[in-house]
Order: sequence, then structure tokens, then C-alpha cells
Amino acid sequence: MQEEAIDPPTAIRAAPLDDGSVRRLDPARIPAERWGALISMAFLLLPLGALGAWIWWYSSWDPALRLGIGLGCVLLYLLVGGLLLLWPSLEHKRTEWRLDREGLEIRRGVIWRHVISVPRRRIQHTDVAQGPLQRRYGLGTLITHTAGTHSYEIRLEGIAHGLALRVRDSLLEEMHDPSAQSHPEPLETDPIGSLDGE
Amino acid sequence: MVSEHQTATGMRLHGLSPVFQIGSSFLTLVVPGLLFLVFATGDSYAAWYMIAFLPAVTISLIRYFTLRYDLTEGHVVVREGLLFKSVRHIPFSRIQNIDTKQNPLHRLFGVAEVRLETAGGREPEAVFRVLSLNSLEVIRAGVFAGRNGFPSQAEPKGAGAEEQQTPFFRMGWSDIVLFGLLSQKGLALLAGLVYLMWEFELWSRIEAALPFDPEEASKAVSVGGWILSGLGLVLLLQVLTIAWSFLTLHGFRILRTKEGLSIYCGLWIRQSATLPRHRIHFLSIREGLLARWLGRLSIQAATAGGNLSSEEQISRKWLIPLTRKAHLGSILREVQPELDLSHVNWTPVHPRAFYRMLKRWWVMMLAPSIILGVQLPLAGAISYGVLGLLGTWGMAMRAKNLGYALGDGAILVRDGILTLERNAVRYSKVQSISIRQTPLDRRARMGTLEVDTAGQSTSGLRLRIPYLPIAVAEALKDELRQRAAAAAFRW
Repeated sequence: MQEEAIDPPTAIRAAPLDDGSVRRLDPARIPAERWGALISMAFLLLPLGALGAWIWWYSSWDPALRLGIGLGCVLLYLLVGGLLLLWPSLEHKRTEWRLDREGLEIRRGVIWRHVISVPRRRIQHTDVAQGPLQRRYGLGTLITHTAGTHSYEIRLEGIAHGLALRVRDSLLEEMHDPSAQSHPEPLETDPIGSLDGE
Repeated sequence: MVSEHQTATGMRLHGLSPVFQIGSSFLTLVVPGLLFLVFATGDSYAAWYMIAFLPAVTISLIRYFTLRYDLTEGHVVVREGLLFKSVRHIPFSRIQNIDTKQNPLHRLFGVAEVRLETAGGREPEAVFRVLSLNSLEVIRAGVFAGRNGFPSQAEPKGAGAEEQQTPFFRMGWSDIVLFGLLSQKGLALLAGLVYLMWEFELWSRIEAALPFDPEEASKAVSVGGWILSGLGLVLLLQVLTIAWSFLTLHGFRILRTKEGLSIYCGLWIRQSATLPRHRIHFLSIREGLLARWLGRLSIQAATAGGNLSSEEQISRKWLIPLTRKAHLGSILREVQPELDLSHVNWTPVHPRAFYRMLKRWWVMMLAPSIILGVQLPLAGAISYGVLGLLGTWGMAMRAKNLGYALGDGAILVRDGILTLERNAVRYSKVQSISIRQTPLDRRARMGTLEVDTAGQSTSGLRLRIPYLPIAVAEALKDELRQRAAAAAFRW
């Protein structure tokens, strides 16, 4: 497993994980995303391209129409190719995340921006997932679950697998031993909670 | 059918359950089928509908007949199924709500239909048709004794600890009448009737059966006659809707018990629901336009795993169906003591919010007006103008209403166009905080703040503040995160 084989340099090990510093996704995510998008797009584009080529060369339609369709296909390929190259690096620039004593915060989105902040004490459980492409590039996805309804699953994908595991462990610490929190003030309990059903 | 292990409190459903089970499935499944048989115009549809019904009826009957339950130490165990058996364990400490329903027949035999709900899922985890009232008490005692798993926290505060003997809230008859009128259930009934008549071509049969010719008769009736009968119909609908309201809500009252809030209502079908106060994840105070004019409001409370859209349990859908505004303070003191809505300083959203909402409305109204205008240009233009003006008034109302406040114990959001909503979420119930920005938001340097809680899935209630200046949104997010992190969460 990666985090056992690689001995992190002392400098990195000394910096605590939950210092609240702003982090980016792993650079390896960029090629991983490109390949992933290419593979999924291929299922759509190859048949379309084949159809376009057939129309261009073999069909007996109106030449202007054939030209139009052929050019359309070429343009589509160029567009998708361009997006494939550009988008992952754009996403990389626009995605940030931080982990601190209070919780996890993720900012993402190129055109539509989304920031989500999850307090540590609301995390019910965490998963670390890894697809085949992510495995190839040493990446992983951290999924935290809360008791909420719209954002019950909060995903941080594209960080190094080892890092995902360390973040998970850091979050687990909180769940096993809430008193280990560094909250100076005493934990406020829900006043109403003491009234009903106790 | 004997269950595999007999416990000290091994319980079955009440002996009369099969009667009630058949009865309820009879009403919901067989009666429509019979209606089809009797009224169908003789084509083959009826036969196909019946064939489709039969499996559904048999399956539900099997389910109902094979249901057995046991109370073991700390669990309710529910077994059901013939071919596909299922055993469900529900720990007492996880049961959030116990709801009951009794129609006159239930009352006659001293039984009730009981539903148990936990925090997970949308449907009740166990539905018993029917339990004897004794069994119900045993379950209640077991559930609330079993809750001692939680370590006792602060000392119970004065007034909150004792059980109440008298309800702190009773719905007056004027409120019941108004609730009926505002909900206009009569209209739904009328729509259903019209559909039935169309489906079974009842109208033509009635016409054929009349001793006189309807065409001639209708010509003979004067305009005044038509108006009178129209008014008569409207009056009838109002009477029906008020009757429905009385049957459902008569005697609506809320008591504070050691289990939480106990809600009772109903004349024909009596319902009861329990709602531990700390299970309320989201509180919404709503004032519809008409209700506002009449000085009234309603309150909804969302709990995790509860189903707010269920029409069957009206006591689950509405915490307070309707009451006078003046009672809000005393009700909140009982229900959520930390909330004080009397002196809230509402902070408005971005000053240019109105302008953006207005722009959006006028752009949205273009599409239907253009579609109309293609055929009838003048009508299209006029409708655009009218819709635009209405929208302008509406957006101005909304811009005035939009606001938020950070209270001592909860975040409050005010919103609404025709219906004024004041929503409150306690910091201990905040699960996560999001800010979203559309491209237009980014250009205007605004954002939408959303707070996620448990229990919003079926209610459609959301805590959202749109059109916030982005810097304010970020600051609010950080503040909320801190306050939420400081307060422990409890289901």
C-alpha cells in the first residue's frame, strides 16, 4: 500500500494535516481526468464519427449537406478535444480544500461555484474510494456523510490516495474521542435535549 | 402462526386485526375495483383493471396477515412475509415517534392503528393494524424507558421537567373553520367527482334517466337561476370543506409530556402523534396571504425520518395548522424555548437583489408571451405587460421579506412572496453549510447560502438565503460553522 512504501520527507510529516492551510488537488488528477473523459466520450464520439465518415464518403446525399455534416463532425471532435485538454487544468486551478480543527471545507466549480463546509462533529462516517483510473495515478476520493438531506454525501475526489486516508484518520479521531477536541470552551449541549425523553 | 422464539412479552396484533386489515385494504383497493365493475360501460377495460388489482390485493393481504411483533429487551422486532420473509429490529432508543389513528370502529373495540418512526427512511418503520390500547401502552413505556441510553446532561430546567396536565395549545373552532376554508378541500372533492363522472360517463346516464329533457329544462332556467345554483354549489363546497376540517381537526391540542410534545386531534378519525422537542430539525412559520389578513399563521416542524407530505397524518404535517399570531410567543416558549421571534432584527440581503429578481422575472415571462404573441400579437403584448406588473409587485414583496438573523440558539431566515415564511434551524441541527454562485451571481458578487439539516427530504422546506453579498455569505458560513461545531448534534 502506498502510504507504507513511501516514507514522506520529514518536512511534510511535521506539518499537521488539520492546520487549515489551503490545499489543491493532486496534479496527477489532470491526466487522470483527461483519460477518464476521453474514455467516456469515446463511447459517444466513435459511433458518431463513424456515421459522419460514412455519410461523407459513401452516401449519395446532396454534396453540400455531406460537407456540412462532415465539417460538423470535425468541429465537434475539435471542441471535445479542446475541452478535454483545457477543462481538467481549469478545474485544478479552481478547486481548493482545507482541513482544520473545526471541519472540512471544499471549494470547486469553474463556471458555477460551490463552497461546502462540514463541521467535524457532524460527520457520521467516511469512505475512501478508488476507481481503476484513480488507482493507476495514485488518487482517491474521500466521501464524508452527514445527517443532512441535500448534502448528505460530500466528496473530495482527486487527492492522493495516501492523503485521503490520512484525512479520514484525522476525521475518525474526532469521532472516537470527542473530548480530544481542542475546543477551549465547554461543549454546549442542546438545552432542550435534557428535557424530553430522559 | 407461532414465532420461532417466544419471549416474555411476545405479542401479537390484536385478535380483531384481520378485520381491520381487510377493512383498510378493502377501502383502498377493492372499492375502486368494484366501482369499475358496477359503472364501467361494458368494455374490456374494467376486466383488465380487476386483473391488475388482484395481485396487489393478495400481496397486501399476505403482508398484513403475516405480521408479528415482539418486544424484547431494548428492541421491537417485526416479522412479516410469507415467501419473502423479513425480520426488522428497531431499538427503542432509535424510535422517534409513535403515532396512532383511531376511527369509530377502533374506538368501539379499544384498539388503534400504530406507526413507529425512526430517524432514517421516509416511511414509518412499523405499521401495526391494529394494536390493543394495552399493547400500545406497553410499547410506549418500553420505548421511553429504553431512552435512558443517553447520559443525563444539564439539570432539567424548571418548567420543562414536569408533565403538563392541560394542553398549552388548543385549536379554537374559528381556527378550524378558517383552516378548512383556506385549504378548500371541497375543490379537490369536486375535481374528483368530475373526473369520476367523466370516466364512467355518468352524466349521460343521468341525463337518460331524467324524466324531462335536460336541454329544454336548461333553457327554461333564467340567468338568475344559474347564478343561484352556482352560488349554491359554492356554498355546498364550503360546507363540505368546513365539515372535513372539523372531522379531522376537532379537539386539536398539544400537551407537553415527558416524552415530548403530544398532539391529539380528530372527531371521526382520532389521531395522536408524539414529537420529542429535540427532534425538531427545522421549524417553519408560515403565513399565507389570506391568513395574514386574518391575523393567523401556521407552523410546520420537520423531524428526521418523518414524512411531512403525508396527508394521512395531519398531525404530522402541521405542528400548528392555524392559530392567531398573538399566540406565537407562548407556543414557541413551549416548543422551542430558545427561539424568540418577537424582536428579530432582520438583516436584508444585497440591495440590488430586487433589481436582479425583477430582471429574471421579465426575462422568464418573455417565453410564454412570445408563444402567445405568435398567434395573437396583441394578447401576447398585453399578457406580457400584465404578468410583468404582477411580477414586479411580487418581487418587491419578496425583496422586502428576504432577510436573515443569527439568534442566540438558531439561524433565522425570512422569505416568501405571497406566503411569508420564517424558518428557524438551531445551530445544533446544522449539518453542513454551502454557498452557491451561478455565473450571474459571480458577476453581481452575490451568492446563495444554504444550510442543510436532517428531515428536509419530504417537506420541501429549505433554509436558503439567496442574493447575499458574497463577503457576507462567506462570513455567515464561517460563523455558522463555528456555532455548529460548538453545539453537539443529537438525532
